[in-house]
Amino acid sequence: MIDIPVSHCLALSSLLFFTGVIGFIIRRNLIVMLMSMELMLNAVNINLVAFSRHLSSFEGQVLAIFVIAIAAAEAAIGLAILVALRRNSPSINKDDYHALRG
Amino acid sequence: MAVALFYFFGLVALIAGILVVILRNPLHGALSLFGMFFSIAGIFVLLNAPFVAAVQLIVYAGGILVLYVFVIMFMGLSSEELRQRRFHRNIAVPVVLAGLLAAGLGFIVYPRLLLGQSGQLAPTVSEALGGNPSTFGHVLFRQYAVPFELLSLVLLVGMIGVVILGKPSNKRRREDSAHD
Repeated sequence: MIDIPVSHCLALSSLLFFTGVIGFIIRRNLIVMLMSMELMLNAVNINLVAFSRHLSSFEGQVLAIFVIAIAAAEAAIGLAILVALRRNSPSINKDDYHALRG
Repeated sequence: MAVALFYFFGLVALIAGILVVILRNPLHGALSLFGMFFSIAGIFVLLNAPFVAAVQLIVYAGGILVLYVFVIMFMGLSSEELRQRRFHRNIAVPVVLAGLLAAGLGFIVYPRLLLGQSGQLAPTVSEALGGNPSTFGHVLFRQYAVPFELLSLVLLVGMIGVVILGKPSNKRRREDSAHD
Protein backbone atom coordinates (compact mmCIF):
# COMPACT_ATOMS: atom_id res chain seq x y z
CA MET A 1 0.00 0.00 0.00
CA ILE A 2 1.41 3.36 -1.02
CA ASP A 3 1.13 6.03 1.65
CA ILE A 4 -0.69 9.24 0.93
CA PRO A 5 1.91 12.03 0.57
CA VAL A 6 1.49 14.72 3.17
CA SER A 7 1.89 17.41 0.51
CA HIS A 8 -1.33 16.24 -1.16
CA CYS A 9 -3.16 16.61 2.15
CA LEU A 10 -1.73 20.12 2.46
CA ALA A 11 -2.84 20.97 -1.08
CA LEU A 12 -6.37 19.74 -0.40
CA SER A 13 -6.57 21.56 2.90
CA SER A 14 -5.29 24.84 1.49
CA LEU A 15 -7.80 24.65 -1.40
CA LEU A 16 -10.64 24.01 1.07
CA PHE A 17 -9.41 26.79 3.35
CA PHE A 18 -9.37 29.38 0.59
CA THR A 19 -12.77 28.23 -0.64
CA GLY A 20 -13.93 29.04 2.88
CA VAL A 21 -12.15 32.41 2.92
CA ILE A 22 -13.68 33.41 -0.42
CA GLY A 23 -17.13 32.27 0.69
CA PHE A 24 -16.83 34.22 3.93
CA ILE A 25 -15.90 37.39 2.07
CA ILE A 26 -18.18 37.36 -0.97
CA ARG A 27 -21.48 35.96 0.36
CA ARG A 28 -24.05 38.34 1.82
CA ASN A 29 -26.02 35.73 3.73
CA LEU A 30 -24.95 35.49 7.38
CA ILE A 31 -25.76 31.76 7.66
CA VAL A 32 -23.59 30.95 4.64
CA MET A 33 -20.80 33.03 6.17
CA LEU A 34 -20.92 30.86 9.31
CA MET A 35 -20.90 27.72 7.15
CA SER A 36 -17.80 29.00 5.34
CA MET A 37 -16.12 29.27 8.73
CA GLU A 38 -16.87 25.59 9.32
CA LEU A 39 -15.18 24.93 5.96
CA MET A 40 -12.03 26.71 7.12
CA LEU A 41 -11.93 24.86 10.45
CA ASN A 42 -12.31 21.52 8.66
CA ALA A 43 -9.44 22.36 6.33
CA VAL A 44 -7.26 23.09 9.37
CA ASN A 45 -8.27 19.73 10.85
CA ILE A 46 -7.10 17.89 7.72
CA ASN A 47 -3.73 19.61 8.11
CA LEU A 48 -3.46 18.66 11.78
CA VAL A 49 -4.33 15.01 11.20
CA ALA A 50 -2.00 14.75 8.20
CA PHE A 51 0.91 16.10 10.22
CA SER A 52 0.00 13.86 13.13
CA ARG A 53 0.50 10.88 10.84
CA HIS A 54 3.55 12.36 9.17
CA LEU A 55 5.32 12.95 12.48
CA SER A 56 4.00 9.76 14.12
CA SER A 57 2.65 11.60 17.12
CA PHE A 58 -0.81 12.04 18.60
CA GLU A 59 -0.54 15.77 19.24
CA GLY A 60 -2.14 16.70 15.94
CA GLN A 61 -5.14 14.50 16.57
CA VAL A 62 -5.57 15.94 20.09
CA LEU A 63 -5.51 19.43 18.59
CA ALA A 64 -8.05 18.35 15.96
CA ILE A 65 -10.41 17.19 18.74
CA PHE A 66 -9.96 20.56 20.48
CA VAL A 67 -10.70 22.40 17.23
CA ILE A 68 -13.88 20.38 16.75
CA ALA A 69 -15.06 21.24 20.28
CA ILE A 70 -14.33 24.95 19.79
CA ALA A 71 -16.15 24.81 16.45
CA ALA A 72 -19.21 23.39 18.19
CA ALA A 73 -19.21 26.25 20.72
CA GLU A 74 -18.63 28.81 17.94
CA ALA A 75 -21.49 27.47 15.81
CA ALA A 76 -23.87 27.49 18.76
CA ILE A 77 -23.03 31.07 19.75
CA GLY A 78 -23.02 32.33 16.15
CA LEU A 79 -26.42 30.85 15.44
CA ALA A 80 -27.80 32.21 18.72
CA ILE A 81 -26.61 35.69 17.70
CA LEU A 82 -28.32 35.20 14.33
CA VAL A 83 -31.59 34.24 16.00
CA ALA A 84 -31.35 37.29 18.27
CA LEU A 85 -30.63 39.52 15.24
CA ARG A 86 -33.53 38.04 13.33
CA ARG A 87 -35.82 38.81 16.26
CA ASN A 88 -35.08 42.53 15.95
CA SER A 89 -34.95 42.87 12.17
CA PRO A 90 -36.26 40.68 9.35
CA SER A 91 -33.04 40.59 7.34
CA ILE A 92 -30.18 38.09 7.37
CA ASN A 93 -28.02 40.02 4.91
CA LYS A 94 -24.85 41.34 6.46
CA ASP A 95 -25.15 44.64 4.56
CA ASP A 96 -28.30 45.51 6.48
CA TYR A 97 -26.47 45.57 9.81
CA HIS A 98 -24.43 48.75 9.89
CA ALA A 99 -25.26 50.12 13.33
CA LEU A 100 -21.59 49.81 14.30
CA ARG A 101 -20.49 51.60 11.08
CA GLY A 102 -18.31 48.64 10.21
CA MET B 1 -6.23 1.88 -3.29
CA ALA B 2 -5.84 4.23 -0.34
CA VAL B 3 -4.47 6.94 -2.61
CA ALA B 4 -7.36 6.55 -5.06
CA LEU B 5 -9.85 6.75 -2.17
CA PHE B 6 -8.04 9.83 -0.88
CA TYR B 7 -8.41 11.55 -4.25
CA PHE B 8 -12.08 10.55 -4.43
CA PHE B 9 -12.88 11.90 -0.96
CA GLY B 10 -10.79 14.99 -1.55
CA LEU B 11 -12.57 15.76 -4.79
CA VAL B 12 -15.98 15.26 -3.19
CA ALA B 13 -14.98 17.50 -0.26
CA LEU B 14 -13.74 20.22 -2.60
CA ILE B 15 -16.84 20.14 -4.83
CA ALA B 16 -19.12 20.14 -1.78
CA GLY B 17 -17.18 23.06 -0.30
CA ILE B 18 -17.52 25.07 -3.50
CA LEU B 19 -21.24 24.25 -3.60
CA VAL B 20 -21.61 25.59 -0.04
CA VAL B 21 -20.22 28.90 -1.26
CA ILE B 22 -22.22 29.20 -4.49
CA LEU B 23 -25.61 27.62 -3.77
CA ARG B 24 -28.38 30.15 -3.36
CA ASN B 25 -30.49 28.42 -0.73
CA PRO B 26 -28.67 28.05 2.64
CA LEU B 27 -30.55 24.79 3.24
CA HIS B 28 -29.03 23.24 0.11
CA GLY B 29 -25.70 24.62 1.28
CA ALA B 30 -26.13 22.86 4.63
CA LEU B 31 -26.86 19.55 2.90
CA SER B 32 -23.77 20.01 0.76
CA LEU B 33 -21.84 20.75 3.96
CA PHE B 34 -22.96 17.32 5.17
CA GLY B 35 -21.32 15.73 2.13
CA MET B 36 -18.13 17.62 2.93
CA PHE B 37 -18.08 16.53 6.59
CA PHE B 38 -18.66 12.94 5.51
CA SER B 39 -15.85 12.84 2.97
CA ILE B 40 -13.47 14.58 5.38
CA ALA B 41 -14.28 11.85 7.91
CA GLY B 42 -13.30 9.36 5.18
CA ILE B 43 -10.00 11.20 4.73
CA PHE B 44 -9.39 10.97 8.49
CA VAL B 45 -9.90 7.20 8.33
CA LEU B 46 -7.41 6.99 5.46
CA LEU B 47 -4.95 9.08 7.48
CA ASN B 48 -5.02 6.53 10.30
CA ALA B 49 -7.18 8.59 12.68
CA PRO B 50 -10.41 6.63 13.14
CA PHE B 51 -11.22 8.26 16.47
CA VAL B 52 -11.09 11.77 15.00
CA ALA B 53 -13.23 10.50 12.11
CA ALA B 54 -15.84 9.22 14.56
CA VAL B 55 -15.82 12.49 16.49
CA GLN B 56 -16.10 14.37 13.20
CA LEU B 57 -19.20 12.40 12.23
CA ILE B 58 -20.82 12.59 15.67
CA VAL B 59 -20.10 16.24 16.50
CA TYR B 60 -20.08 17.87 13.05
CA ALA B 61 -22.53 15.83 11.01
CA GLY B 62 -24.68 14.84 13.97
CA GLY B 63 -24.62 17.98 16.08
CA ILE B 64 -23.48 21.16 14.36
CA LEU B 65 -25.15 20.43 11.03
CA VAL B 66 -28.47 19.60 12.67
CA LEU B 67 -28.18 22.89 14.56
CA TYR B 68 -27.65 24.75 11.25
CA VAL B 69 -30.58 23.04 9.53
CA PHE B 70 -32.75 23.66 12.59
CA VAL B 71 -31.94 27.38 12.65
CA ILE B 72 -32.44 27.76 8.88
CA MET B 73 -35.85 26.11 9.08
CA PHE B 74 -36.69 28.06 12.24
CA MET B 75 -35.95 31.33 10.47
CA GLY B 76 -38.07 30.31 7.49
CA LEU B 77 -36.39 32.09 4.58
CA SER B 78 -38.93 33.83 2.39
CA SER B 79 -38.84 33.30 -1.36
CA GLU B 80 -38.20 37.02 -1.79
CA GLU B 81 -35.04 36.75 0.31
CA LEU B 82 -33.85 33.82 -1.80
CA ARG B 83 -34.17 35.84 -4.98
CA GLN B 84 -31.83 38.59 -3.75
CA ARG B 85 -28.26 38.96 -4.88
CA ARG B 86 -26.04 36.22 -3.45
CA PHE B 87 -22.66 37.88 -3.76
CA HIS B 88 -21.23 41.30 -3.20
CA ARG B 89 -21.09 43.61 -6.14
CA ASN B 90 -17.39 43.41 -6.56
CA ILE B 91 -16.10 39.92 -5.91
CA ALA B 92 -12.96 40.11 -8.03
CA VAL B 93 -10.86 41.86 -5.38
CA PRO B 94 -11.45 39.35 -2.55
CA VAL B 95 -10.98 36.41 -4.91
CA VAL B 96 -7.68 37.82 -6.17
CA LEU B 97 -6.55 38.58 -2.61
CA ALA B 98 -7.41 35.04 -1.45
CA GLY B 99 -5.59 33.63 -4.46
CA LEU B 100 -2.51 35.70 -3.59
CA LEU B 101 -2.69 34.42 -0.01
CA ALA B 102 -2.95 30.84 -1.27
CA ALA B 103 -0.01 31.38 -3.63
CA GLY B 104 2.05 32.85 -0.81
CA LEU B 105 1.28 29.90 1.43
CA GLY B 106 2.12 27.47 -1.34
CA PHE B 107 5.36 29.34 -1.99
CA ILE B 108 6.40 28.85 1.62
CA VAL B 109 5.15 25.31 2.16
CA TYR B 110 5.61 23.41 -1.07
CA PRO B 111 9.29 23.95 -1.88
CA ARG B 112 10.17 22.45 1.49
CA LEU B 113 7.84 19.51 1.15
CA LEU B 114 8.17 18.72 -2.54
CA LEU B 115 11.62 19.83 -3.65
CA GLY B 116 13.70 20.02 -0.51
CA GLN B 117 13.25 16.58 1.00
CA SER B 118 11.18 14.56 -1.40
CA GLY B 119 13.19 11.48 -0.48
CA GLN B 120 12.19 11.67 3.17
CA LEU B 121 8.53 12.24 2.49
CA ALA B 122 7.34 8.71 3.16
CA PRO B 123 5.76 8.91 6.61
CA THR B 124 7.08 6.53 9.20
CA VAL B 125 3.92 5.28 10.82
CA SER B 126 4.80 3.45 14.00
CA GLU B 127 2.74 0.43 14.98
CA ALA B 128 1.69 2.04 18.24
CA LEU B 129 0.10 4.89 16.29
CA GLY B 130 -2.16 2.58 14.30
CA GLY B 131 -5.06 4.83 15.19
CA ASN B 132 -5.60 2.95 18.42
CA PRO B 133 -8.19 4.87 20.48
CA SER B 134 -6.88 3.58 23.82
CA THR B 135 -3.40 4.97 23.12
CA PHE B 136 -5.06 8.17 21.99
CA GLY B 137 -6.99 8.29 25.26
CA HIS B 138 -3.77 7.91 27.25
CA VAL B 139 -2.26 10.90 25.46
CA LEU B 140 -5.44 12.95 25.77
CA PHE B 141 -6.09 12.32 29.46
CA ARG B 142 -2.51 12.29 30.78
CA GLN B 143 -0.53 14.80 28.78
CA TYR B 144 -3.44 17.04 27.79
CA ALA B 145 -5.69 16.65 30.84
CA VAL B 146 -5.60 20.35 31.83
CA PRO B 147 -6.39 21.71 28.32
CA PHE B 148 -9.18 19.13 28.13
CA GLU B 149 -10.73 20.44 31.36
CA LEU B 150 -10.32 24.04 30.17
CA LEU B 151 -12.18 23.02 27.02
CA SER B 152 -15.13 21.90 29.12
CA LEU B 153 -15.05 25.34 30.75
CA VAL B 154 -15.16 26.96 27.29
CA LEU B 155 -18.17 24.83 26.37
CA LEU B 156 -19.89 25.78 29.63
CA VAL B 157 -19.32 29.49 28.95
CA GLY B 158 -20.65 28.99 25.40
CA MET B 159 -23.75 27.26 26.73
CA ILE B 160 -24.47 30.05 29.22
CA GLY B 161 -23.93 32.64 26.47
CA VAL B 162 -26.35 30.90 24.15
CA VAL B 163 -29.02 30.74 26.86
CA ILE B 164 -28.60 34.46 27.60
CA LEU B 165 -28.64 35.40 23.89
CA GLY B 166 -31.63 33.23 23.14
CA LYS B 167 -33.75 34.65 25.93
CA PRO B 168 -36.11 37.50 24.99
CA SER B 169 -34.84 40.78 26.43
CA ASN B 170 -36.22 42.11 29.71
CA LYS B 171 -37.76 45.11 27.98
CA ARG B 172 -39.67 42.94 25.54
CA ARG B 173 -40.86 40.67 28.34
CA ARG B 174 -42.19 43.67 30.29
CA GLU B 175 -44.03 44.88 27.19
CA ASP B 176 -45.53 41.42 26.71
CA SER B 177 -46.71 41.25 30.31
CA ALA B 178 -48.12 44.79 30.02
CA HIS B 179 -50.22 43.59 27.09
CA ASP B 180 -51.57 40.73 29.18
